[in-house]
Amino acid sequence: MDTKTNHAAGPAAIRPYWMPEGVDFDGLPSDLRAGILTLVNPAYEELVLRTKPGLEQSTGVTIVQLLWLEVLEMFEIGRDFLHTDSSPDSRQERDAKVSRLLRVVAAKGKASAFWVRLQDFRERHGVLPGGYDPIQREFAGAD
Amino acid sequence: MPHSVDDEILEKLESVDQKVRDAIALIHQQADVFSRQGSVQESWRSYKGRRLGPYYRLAYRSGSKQRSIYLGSDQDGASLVRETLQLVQQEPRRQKSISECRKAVRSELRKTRRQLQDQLAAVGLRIQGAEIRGWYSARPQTDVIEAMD
Repeated sequence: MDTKTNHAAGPAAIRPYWMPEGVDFDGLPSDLRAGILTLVNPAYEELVLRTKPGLEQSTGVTIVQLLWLEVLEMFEIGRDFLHTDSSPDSRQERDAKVSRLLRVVAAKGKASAFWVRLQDFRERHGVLPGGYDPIQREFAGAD
Repeated sequence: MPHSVDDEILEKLESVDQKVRDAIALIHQQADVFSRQGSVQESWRSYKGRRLGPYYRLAYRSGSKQRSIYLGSDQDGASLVRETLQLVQQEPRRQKSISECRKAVRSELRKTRRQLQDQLAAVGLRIQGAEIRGWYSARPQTDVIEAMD
C-alpha cells in the first residue's frame, strides 16, 4: 500500500475472517483496525472458537459483536473530542454517542454475566440449563 | 502516545512559509468545500530563456469561480498542503466505512439475538429486555427433587 496516498488508513492489516462481507475493512482508519484486531479477535477466539455450537457459542458471538460495537463507538467519541467544536449541536451529538456507548456497554455486561452464569450452571449441574449437554448435544434423560 | 498525521503536519508547519500555513488553515476552515475538491498544481515560468519552477498553487472552486492560492516554490510546503487535502478528503470515506461497519455489526447482532432466543426457548429460558429469565424452571429435575427433600 502506498502510505503517501493513504495516511489515514495506514498500512494494510489482515482482514479477520469473521468480518461480514459488507464491511470495507481496509477503508477503516488504521487505529480502529488495530483496535478490532487487538480487542475483538482474542475475544472471538476465546468465546466463539473455543466453545461448542449452541447456547454458549451464540452468547459468545453476542458478546463479541457488542464488544465490536463498543470499539466503534469509543473510536468515534475519541475522534469527536479531538476534531469537533464545543457548540451546543456538537455537544448534543457527542452526548447522544456517549449514551449509545453506555447502552452497548450495559448490554455487553448483561451478556457477559449470562455467559458466566452458564459456566457456573454447568459446573454445578454438569449440564446446561434445561439439562442440555453441549458435549453430547442432547438433553440429559431424553431417552 | 500515538502520533497522528495531524500532529505531524502541525510540527512541520512550524518551519514552513506563511503562505502554506494560510492554505492549510483555509482547508481546515472550509473542510466541507475541500472534502470534495481541490488540488495542488505545479506550474513553470520562463525568464530570459530559462525555465523556472516548479511553483505550486492550491487550486479549488468556490461557487462558480475557480480560485487559487499561491504556495511558492517550496516542495515540502506543497507536500504538506497535499497531505492536508488528502486528510480532509478521506474523512467522508472514513465516516462512510465506519457507518457501514456499524450497520453490518448491528445486523449480525439482530440475527444472533434471534438465534439465541430460539436456543434459550429450547432450554426453558427467555430474553426479557437485556436479561435472561426462567432460571428456576430450567434447573435439572434431579435438583428440584433434591431441593424438595
